[in-house]
Amino acid sequence: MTVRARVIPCLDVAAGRVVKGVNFVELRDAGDPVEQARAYDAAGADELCFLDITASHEDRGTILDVVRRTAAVCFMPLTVGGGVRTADDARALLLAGADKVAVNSAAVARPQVVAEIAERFGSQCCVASVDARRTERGWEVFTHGGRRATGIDAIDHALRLADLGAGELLVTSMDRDGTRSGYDLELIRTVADRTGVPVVASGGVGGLSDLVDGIVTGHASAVLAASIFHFGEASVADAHAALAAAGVPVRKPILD
Amino acid sequence: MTLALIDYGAGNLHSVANALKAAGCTDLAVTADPEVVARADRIVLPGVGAFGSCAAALRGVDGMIEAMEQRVRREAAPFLGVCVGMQLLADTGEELGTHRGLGWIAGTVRRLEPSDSAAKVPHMGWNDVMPVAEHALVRPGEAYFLHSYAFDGADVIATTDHDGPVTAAIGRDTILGVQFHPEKSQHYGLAFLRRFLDWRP
Repeated sequence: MTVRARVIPCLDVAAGRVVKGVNFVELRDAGDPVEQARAYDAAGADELCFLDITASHEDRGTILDVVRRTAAVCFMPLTVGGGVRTADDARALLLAGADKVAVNSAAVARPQVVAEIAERFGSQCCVASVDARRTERGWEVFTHGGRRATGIDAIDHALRLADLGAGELLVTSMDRDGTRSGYDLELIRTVADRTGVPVVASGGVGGLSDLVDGIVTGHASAVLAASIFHFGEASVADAHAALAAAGVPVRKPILD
Repeated sequence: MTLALIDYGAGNLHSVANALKAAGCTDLAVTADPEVVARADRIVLPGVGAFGSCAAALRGVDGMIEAMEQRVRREAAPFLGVCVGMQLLADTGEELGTHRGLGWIAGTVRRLEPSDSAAKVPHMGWNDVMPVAEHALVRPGEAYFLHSYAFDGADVIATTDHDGPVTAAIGRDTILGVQFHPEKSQHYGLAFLRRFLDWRP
């Protein structure tokens, strides 16, 4: 076989607590990101993503502690995004145990930060995260959770960040995010077909068929989802099974 | 039974340390001290990032390569290199210039250049470990890969497939290197590390 399509649950974390997370009944503390990470590790997730949405700057150090504690008990790849401004921010997360670091707003303000991270730590750990909305001409980069327009073409921006050294592109449709109406497949495919690096589809998953579409129609290498896993509607195993049924190569994790 | 995990600034140092402990390693020394390496029963060399900067960082630890040479090549202590720690076993690496490796296993580390544009670089994700030679530690299974460069040379023990065969493991005598990340490969990875801890080559 070939490299497997990846299923990536994403946890929103604020000040060290899960804001939007899974309802695994067996968890002692469902608000603890480490407990949630363990549950996903046991469930056979291919990777895990923490998105740090901590508002205040003072609480930013808490994500490092979360990452450190997660890395001590989870032996799966971990991407951490949110608030990464500099190569030193990336370094702190990588040393804490993150395998990949996602840069978003900072790379809008200063794309060169992607090159700085890639040069110091390697492209393999540098994820460029792009939030996009449809316009009449194509897609535009938005920041601040999709509220602030930038005037930057999202496709050009994503491709430029890959050229600067990003080893992966995490592409989120802010039109679809939270709508459960499926990925913006045209957006995902437009980026995926024009770049040599893996693309992660994000934003809008409402069911397992959306994950399949992300890979088969969107040409993504990985699919990220939050609520369908968190609310217990689907398990990672269900996602793998749906992808396999569509002929997509997925792994068969050895589960506890 | 001391295991020396060599600290030369590699990004995956702590993840490898955590995984070795979870695999049952009770006497783990995370160390930049060549004296500790020279006395260790087993040695693990981690590594992520660029070949050249990792090679330079390892050479930057005074006496470390000499200690590794002595303990592994002359005294036959079991050795495991992970990801770039495996690639460093090669003669040369061609990432951002041409750089000299340890030269323990004949070969060159070159950029992955799949002809099929659907095969992305970095090669990122879970893929097969397919043994091509007998080895006590390397078994078929699915492991996590994350790399843009790969080993091309002698003593290949296992391959994976990314629009053609890509080296997944190399080894000879008491030396073993794996391109995949056992520390990120859940059950498969921890089971592999347990076998390394029990290995009596």
